[in-house]
Amino acid sequence: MLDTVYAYRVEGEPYPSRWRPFRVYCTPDKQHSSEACPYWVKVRHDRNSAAVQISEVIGLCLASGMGFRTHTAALVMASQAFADSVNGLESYPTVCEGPHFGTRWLADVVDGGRHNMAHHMDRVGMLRLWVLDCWIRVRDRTTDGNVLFLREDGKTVTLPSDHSDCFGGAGLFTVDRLDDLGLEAEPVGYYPEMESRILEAGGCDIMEEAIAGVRAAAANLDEVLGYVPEVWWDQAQLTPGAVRGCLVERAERLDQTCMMGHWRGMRDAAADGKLL
Amino acid sequence: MRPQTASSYRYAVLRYVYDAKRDLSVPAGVIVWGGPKGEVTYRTLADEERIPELSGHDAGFFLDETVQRIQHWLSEEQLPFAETQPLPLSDEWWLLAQRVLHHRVRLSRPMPLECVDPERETDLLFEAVVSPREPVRRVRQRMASALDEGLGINLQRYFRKRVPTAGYSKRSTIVSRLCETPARRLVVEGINLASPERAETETYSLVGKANWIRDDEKDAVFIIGYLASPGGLNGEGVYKSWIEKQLDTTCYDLVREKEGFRAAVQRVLDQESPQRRLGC
Repeated sequence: MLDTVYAYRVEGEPYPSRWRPFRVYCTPDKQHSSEACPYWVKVRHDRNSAAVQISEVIGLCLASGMGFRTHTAALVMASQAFADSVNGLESYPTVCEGPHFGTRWLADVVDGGRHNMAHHMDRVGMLRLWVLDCWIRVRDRTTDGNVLFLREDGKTVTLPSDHSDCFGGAGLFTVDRLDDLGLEAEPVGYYPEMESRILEAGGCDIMEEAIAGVRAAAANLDEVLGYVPEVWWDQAQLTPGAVRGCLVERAERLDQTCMMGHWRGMRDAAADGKLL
Repeated sequence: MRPQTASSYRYAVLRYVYDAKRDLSVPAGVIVWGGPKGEVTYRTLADEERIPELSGHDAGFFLDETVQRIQHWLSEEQLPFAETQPLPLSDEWWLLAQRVLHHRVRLSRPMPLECVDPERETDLLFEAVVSPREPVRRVRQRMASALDEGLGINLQRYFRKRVPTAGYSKRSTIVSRLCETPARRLVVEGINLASPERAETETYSLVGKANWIRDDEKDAVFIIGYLASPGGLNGEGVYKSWIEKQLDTTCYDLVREKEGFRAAVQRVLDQESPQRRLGC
């Protein structure tokens, strides 16, 4: 279950990305009598923005299921009074009453992107992330901030972040498209230095492990989809069944999507000494 | 903001948020850009420098990452989330960059700067804005190299570095550069006025030292070189004019008035015939 917190006050300007998330201090109680903590909130107000919220929950929970450290996510409840106080402010997105998707805002992170992914990510981690992204069809992982590096005790920890564009992107995340998406087996683009890293990490074996990780995470799909509030499904005009079907299909096709024939061929050739 | 001219400079301050909840931050770096070539210079907190509020924080990591990220955006000419890419280094570009940087390290708005030598003056601006605590050895080294550069190779050879000279009651004190003849002493001293925290105490210390030396019977002439933040950002002019009044001399900016500094030193040396020079 995602925690429920209550929006109390906004701080700072909205981020300039498409969904204009912003920082909201939230309390665990409706009366705001407890200490407020900052959340990074993406709000919903129409079909596409509701689909984004579903995409965020699925992406985050499945990343967690594959063993990644993830943000602490919550349903951020906006009261009518809170929504009224934000609506009308220039540059802020429209907020409606009810639950919105939020993650605990972290200070000790740096945004990942093409410029630093290879530096901060270990080989196996990058590979697992790529397989996850092939599964849930995240095509914008190398965009600034779609992976974060948390600094902890002098080390960096990878946090897959911003899953608003799973399933090919919010505008494409519709019931009509889910059937096609389930049948598609196109990999997402490689991350910086990834091809060499696959080989360094053990090639085919490590890919197979990552795919097994996806299948293990897929076993919990019902639980993950159950975290999504009813009102988001309704507003997004999506159904858990359709999303589930698409993800199961895609998990089954991952061998093909991740070009396992190619990697197995390389392993066999290496075993036969042909590569030498 | 008014449009920039081809040679004008801007700067922005990198602020480190040490208390996110209260949104408290301290300056921890500066970026200077502009000029005819549109160069960008960065200066962030170095390993040996300390800011009390950042104790226990991994500030170096976050500052380095931020600088690398900005450099990447500039080299790719691709700022994330721009609907249309603003011209790199334009005010619009920095204002968008400011909105993207929202974790530990934040960026100020772009601000105008009067600057002639960005490579040298970025350091001085950093010192004026950030004012870190740093080891005395490092401060002294920086001043020594500024004095060497100010004097130039030709004049450096006439001086001994960090040597004692007599003062009140024949008690000696160390001076930065000394050229001594039988008749008098030429003392070249440097003072760093760029740091608002240190400028005042350094001024008192310099004037006190000069008066101490003057209390010896042997005549002493002082020429002072100083480092200041670009454009006198912290109002250090008052210290400069007080030193000039107290020591009856002229102080020269070691970055912007190198020629005047050298000429003043040369004039004093020329008053002594080479035959009479001793100890130089």
